[in-house]
Parts: sequence; structure tokens; C-alpha cells
Amino acid sequence: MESCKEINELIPLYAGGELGEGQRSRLEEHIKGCRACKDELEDIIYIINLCNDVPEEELPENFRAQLHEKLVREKEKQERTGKVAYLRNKYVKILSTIAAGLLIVALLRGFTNNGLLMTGRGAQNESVESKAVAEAAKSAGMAESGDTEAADVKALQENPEVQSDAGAEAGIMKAPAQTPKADTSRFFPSQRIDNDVRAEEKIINSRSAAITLGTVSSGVEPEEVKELALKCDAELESSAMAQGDAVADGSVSELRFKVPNQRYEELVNLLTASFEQYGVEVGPLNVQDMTQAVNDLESKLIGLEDSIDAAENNKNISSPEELSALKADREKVMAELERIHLNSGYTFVTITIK
Amino acid sequence: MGDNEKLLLARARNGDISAFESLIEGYQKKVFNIALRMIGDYEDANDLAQEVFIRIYKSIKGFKEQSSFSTWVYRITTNVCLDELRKRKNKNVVSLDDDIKFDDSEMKRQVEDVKPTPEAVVERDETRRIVSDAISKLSSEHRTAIILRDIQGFSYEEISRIINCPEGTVKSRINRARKALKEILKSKKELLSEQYVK
Repeated sequence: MESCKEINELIPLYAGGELGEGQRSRLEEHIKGCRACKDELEDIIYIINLCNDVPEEELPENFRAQLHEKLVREKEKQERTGKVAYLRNKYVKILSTIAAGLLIVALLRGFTNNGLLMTGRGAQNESVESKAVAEAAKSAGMAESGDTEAADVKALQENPEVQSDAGAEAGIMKAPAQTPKADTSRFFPSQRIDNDVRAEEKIINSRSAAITLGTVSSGVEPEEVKELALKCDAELESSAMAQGDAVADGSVSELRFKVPNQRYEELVNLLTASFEQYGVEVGPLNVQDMTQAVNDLESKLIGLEDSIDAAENNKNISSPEELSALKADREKVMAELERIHLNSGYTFVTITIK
Repeated sequence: MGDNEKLLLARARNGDISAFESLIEGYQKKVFNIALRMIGDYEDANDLAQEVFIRIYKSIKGFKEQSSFSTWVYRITTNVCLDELRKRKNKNVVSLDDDIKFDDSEMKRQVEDVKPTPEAVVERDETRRIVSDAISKLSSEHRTAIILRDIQGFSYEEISRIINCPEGTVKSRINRARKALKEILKSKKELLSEQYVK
């Protein structure tokens, strides 16, 4: 049988229709035989109804007009401040743009004179570099008319040679070729996606899965796996990498990611398509309902808050150490609740590479 | 965020006042009412609500759309009101730590009555005045919880995002706030019962 003290903590939430099913049944069972708690419940329901009845007041008559005036004044102030800053920055930008152009020229001339560039390419780059300087000067000129950022972009766009050469020299990777999508529908149990659920019915789950790569043959690179995971907005939580002799012995690497729930399927499809030749095993998606755990933590939090309240208002005699301990417990419970809520948006995936 | 709201937001970011006013039109009444319940004074709530929108206008370029626009609006509203309550506490204009007491001489009319009203409306207004005054006696934390949940009707998830607290903490505060309000109104229950039909 629940004590009145425990039930009392739940009454305000029950009155607002905010208790989970388990706690609701416990409370209803208790108040069948407890007059005091029943009276408390009626009082709280009464309070909530009073609050619900507080009417929404109309806006004051001149609210919109006054606000409009203030917005106009604020906009004028921003424009005045902007002009002063612009004039100050314009001078600095012109100087730095010309300085940057001269630096590029100096560097390129240095490379050319040292024979670091091939002749033909060097000749090409000389014409490119002079275009860059011309565009830098043109940007400086355009800055006078107040269009510095647009000028910078325009300059870059009008020199595709500069852009693409830089790109090639930096060795930018091309996007991987599209591979046919593997059929992975068997790995995903049918369930509602959290984002589709109304706020009041939000399911709090803990989701995890295990994927093994290289079940048929080795050759899967952990760095490749990380890159693919990043494309699905996954974050690396931990990694245990086999190195050197350990790799030769057949030991495994293990990567643990957290991926947004709505991107989990995409991640599985991507890994399966990319590493199918090495063998991929995708374990079932484990979904653990955390609602009861959350309810229990919230009840505990309510109890702690009341104890802290009572201790701070001297209703109970508590030592400073006891009060600190209560507050420390409260922080832990709040942190745990926050962790559960935050993690419910993610699926934790452990990828083992053989 | 709907397409229309996105469009208005983009124009407002470029300094278009008219677009900004259209964007905030749907929020003005609620923001004013939150301020009114938090501060308890009609004129001050008018000023504070306008300050909320000026702050939003000033920082709209930095709004990154990581939270929804409405969450952002109500978060600024709550923060502006809490800042004001803190300032008043420091200046001893309103003490947030008063013992719970309910003395007729301390009550003041929350909303100006500019038109004559029939008796039934006066009685209803009296009940609401008692409730509003009781809410004004809660701590800022409890007051925020009661106003957002029981008066404005936000969900726990919405409140959690607005005040940036876990839902468990929100539930705990609402729990304690309702109990605290009950204690304040206990002495006035008979008077309220005559005027209020459950």
C-alpha cells in the first residue's frame, strides 16, 4: 500500500492528467480508501481549473503603434551604426585586399624563379596570377561602391582556373560513385519514428544495434567506415583500434557511433552497399522502452526537490552536508534524465571490423 | 516553420519591418499575457512585451533555426520577465521571498477596468483578480511553471525547450508550484467557492 506521503507527491501531476499509467493506477487505488488524499486531489484540481479559467487579455490599444515606432527607431540606429562601421572597415579592406594580391604575386614569382612549377604550367599560372591581382584590385574598386563581399565572390567565380587548379593541387576527392542500394528492409522492425509522434505521446526509447564488417574477407578500413558514418551525421563515441601485429592476428577494431534515429536506416544501407564484398552482418535493432525508468527518476526528483525545499526552509533539521548530498543527488538525477531524453533521439551503433 | 514564416523571417533578417511585424503578429497577445501574469502590472507588461519584440528584432540575424521560432520567442519572453523580476528584487520593488500571506490591503487591481460591467462580470473578475494576485506571490520559478503550463497551456516538452530544463525538472516545478498556489489560496477558498462554479 502506498503511503500518503508518496501519493501526495503524485497528486498535482495526476490532477493535470500528467501521470504515466502505472503511477495513475497506484494513486487511484490509494485514494479509494484515503479521504485526506482525496480532499488534497480535489483541492489541486480546483486550483488547476482556476488557472485554466484565467482569461487571455487583449493587447493594449496602442501596443502595435508604439512597437512600430520603436522598431523604426531601432532600424535607423542600426543603419547609422552600420554606416560608421562600413566606412571604417572599407579602408581596412581595401588595404588588405591589395596586400593579399601583392603577396600572391610575390609567392608565385618566387615559385616560378625557383623552377618549382613546370614551364607551360608556370606560364599558364602567370596569366592566372595576373588575373588574380587584377581581380583583387577590381574588388578593391568595387569595395568603394559598398559591395566588398559580393566583389570577393565575383572575383573567385570569374577565375575558375584559379579555383579548379587549387582544387586539383589540394587533391580533393571526388564523390564516390553511386552503388545499387542493398535490400536491408529485414533489419528494421516496423515502428513509429519519434519525429512523427505528437509531443504528448512521445516515446522515450533507448536504441542500439551491432554491425559486423569483414565477415567474409578482411580489407575494411576503419577510416572509410568513419567517413561513411559522418555522411549520416553520426558522431563517433569511442573506438578501439587493432594495430600492427594485432591486425595480423585477426583481432578486430570496434567503432561506436551515435546516429540520429531518422538516419540509422541510411547508415545501414550505406555500409551494406559499400562493404558487401567483404561480408556484412547487421544485428537486430534493440529498442528498450525507457518510460518506466523516466517515471521512476522523475518521482525520485520530486522527492529530492521536496526534501531540499524542506531543508532550506528549516522545516526539517538537516546539516549542511545532508543538504549538499541532497543537491548532489538531484544534479545526478537531472543529468540522468537529460541523458535519457537526449539519447532517445539517437541510435547507438557498434561497428566491429574483422 | 511554415514556408510563409520562413519567407517573412528571411525578409525580416534584411531589416524589413513590415515583414517582421507580420512574423510576430501571431505571438503578440500570448507574449503580452505571459508578461502580464509574470509581472502583475498592465503597463509594465505592455513595456516588457514590446521589449521582447525589440530584442527579437535586434538578434533575428543570429537566429539559427536550431530551435523553432516560437520556442525562441517564448524563451526570450520568459528571460525578459525573469530579468525584470530580479531587478525588482534587487531594488526591493517586489520581494520574491515574502512569507505566504494573503492580506486584502496588499491586493491591487491587475487589469484596469475601463468600462462599467454587470455584477456577474465583476464577481468573475474578482475571482480572477484573487487568482492573479496569488500567482504573483509565487517564487519566480513556480510562477513561470504555473503560467506556462496551467494558464498558457504549453506542453511539458515545449516548456522544457523554452526554459531549457529537462522535462523531469519541469514536472517537478509544476508539482511544487501547484502545491504552493494551493497553500496561498487556502484562506480564500470559501470566498472563491461562492463565486466560482466548478
